[in-house]
Amino acid sequence: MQKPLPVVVESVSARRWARLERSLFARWDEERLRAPEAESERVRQGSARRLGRQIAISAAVLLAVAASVMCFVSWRRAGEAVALDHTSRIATGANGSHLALQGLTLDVEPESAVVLGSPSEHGMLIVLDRGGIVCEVAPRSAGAPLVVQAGSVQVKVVGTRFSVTRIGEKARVAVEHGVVEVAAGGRVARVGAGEVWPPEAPAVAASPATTSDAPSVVEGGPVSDANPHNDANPKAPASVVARPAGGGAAGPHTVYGEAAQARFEAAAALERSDPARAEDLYRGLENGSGSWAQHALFAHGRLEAARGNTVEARQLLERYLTRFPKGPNSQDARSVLERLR
Amino acid sequence: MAQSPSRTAFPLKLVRPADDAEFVRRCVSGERAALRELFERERVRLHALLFRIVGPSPHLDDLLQEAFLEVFRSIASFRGESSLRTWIDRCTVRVAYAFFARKARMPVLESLSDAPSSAPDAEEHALLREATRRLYMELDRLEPRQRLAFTLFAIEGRSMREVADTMSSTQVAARVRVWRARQTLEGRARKDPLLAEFLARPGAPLAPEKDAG
Repeated sequence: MQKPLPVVVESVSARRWARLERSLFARWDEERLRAPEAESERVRQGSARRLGRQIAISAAVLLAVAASVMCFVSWRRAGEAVALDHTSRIATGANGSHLALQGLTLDVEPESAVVLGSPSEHGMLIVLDRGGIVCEVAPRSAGAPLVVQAGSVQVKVVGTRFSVTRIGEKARVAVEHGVVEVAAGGRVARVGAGEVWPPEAPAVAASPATTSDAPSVVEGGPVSDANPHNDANPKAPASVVARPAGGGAAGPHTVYGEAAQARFEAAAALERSDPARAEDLYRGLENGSGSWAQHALFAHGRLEAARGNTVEARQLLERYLTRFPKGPNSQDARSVLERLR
Repeated sequence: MAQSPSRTAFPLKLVRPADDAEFVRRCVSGERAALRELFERERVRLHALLFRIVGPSPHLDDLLQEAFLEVFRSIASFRGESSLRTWIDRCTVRVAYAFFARKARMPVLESLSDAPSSAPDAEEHALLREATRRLYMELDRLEPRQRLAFTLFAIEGRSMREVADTMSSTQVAARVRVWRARQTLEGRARKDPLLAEFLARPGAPLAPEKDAG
């Protein structure tokens, strides 16, 4: 061990020690004289604090009891309705699921995942993780709407029947009756009965080639601003607009992207009523190289899985992962494949 | 092998735990004679400890009284888990720390008192005094815990384990504090030849270290 630094400690004279000692004990005596006062003050403050604490604890207990009684009464009034006291997650496999909650009928499509928030006086939140749902909502008060969040799209409803299908970070909303408000990208749109969101743009100069089952894809053209799918989100499928050939009228290679989107949406809508036709449509899209091909390939695989066609589903999903290993649905594809195995 | 001289300038008095317990009981009961005995026993050692931590300062007497008052007030809480001496040192270090914390909040300019020395050579004494003054000026700029750890280790000459024990910290924390203080002082000594020479004296903390604790 090393030697310490040579700091020389000052010496203290006897007189200084005496002064120090006198002063120290004078301070100590003074402190002790004041100690009983200080002690009684501490005791007084302590008693006041204890009393305050007791009052606060009693009030908290009373409040808790009152809240429990109110919750119990409201639960009893709710009758046989399912009470979602906590957030619940529903993930469906090959078969969908049907739920009837208080004022809400919810059909969760196969291979879907949804999180249901607890209903409150401010409304109820449903978060669609993947897949699709069909909701039928009894008329609700405007202050307590049902809100469905699908990626960055938010659907607000006070009483209607509608479906929401999640596509990457976006979603498709189809309203059967009533009116819903869809909020996305800072804009709010009202979607009425028989309408879908995003609105299906009419095909520009659609040619037979654009509707054939083997479309020639034209990519790299300007992206339409009207389509809510076309924001900066890399997961969103890009709509493709044809480049006018020679600056004149649209040639044989015309709009493909919007037609592809329309066909994809048609296929999604047909999944329940006419799955064979939906598969045909998906098959026609999935051979292309645009972003709708990705979605179609995954949706086709998911649909085959839902229909119990395990071998086809696996082939399609494996093909999806081979072609689009980092695609927007790659994680879902892996989890479906895992389940199929 | 020759025994290395004790670092402590004051003879250590062996106090058995049983004596400690009885003595503490008398102090707790407020027996004036016991408190005076405690003061007599510890005053020189605590004064030296405070001097090495704080340096030559006009506040030293006040701090010494504060340290004793802290000991008198808290002695009822002494449970005998360490020696009474170590426990008293902890009280003293707490008082010094509080002083540094106050000083950091309200920096005051103070003139350093002369530190009379028994050094025979007047010039050597003057240089030593000046170097000490500069050292404490630099120590004043350190973070209080670093300063405490450094002074206990490098000036008071305690082992790293004793430093940690006195500061109620881990040995690793104590070692880090000493190391940081040393780094800072090294940096400053590069601009101050007198301080550099003082710190580089054989056995000084900046000289090559054989055993840090």
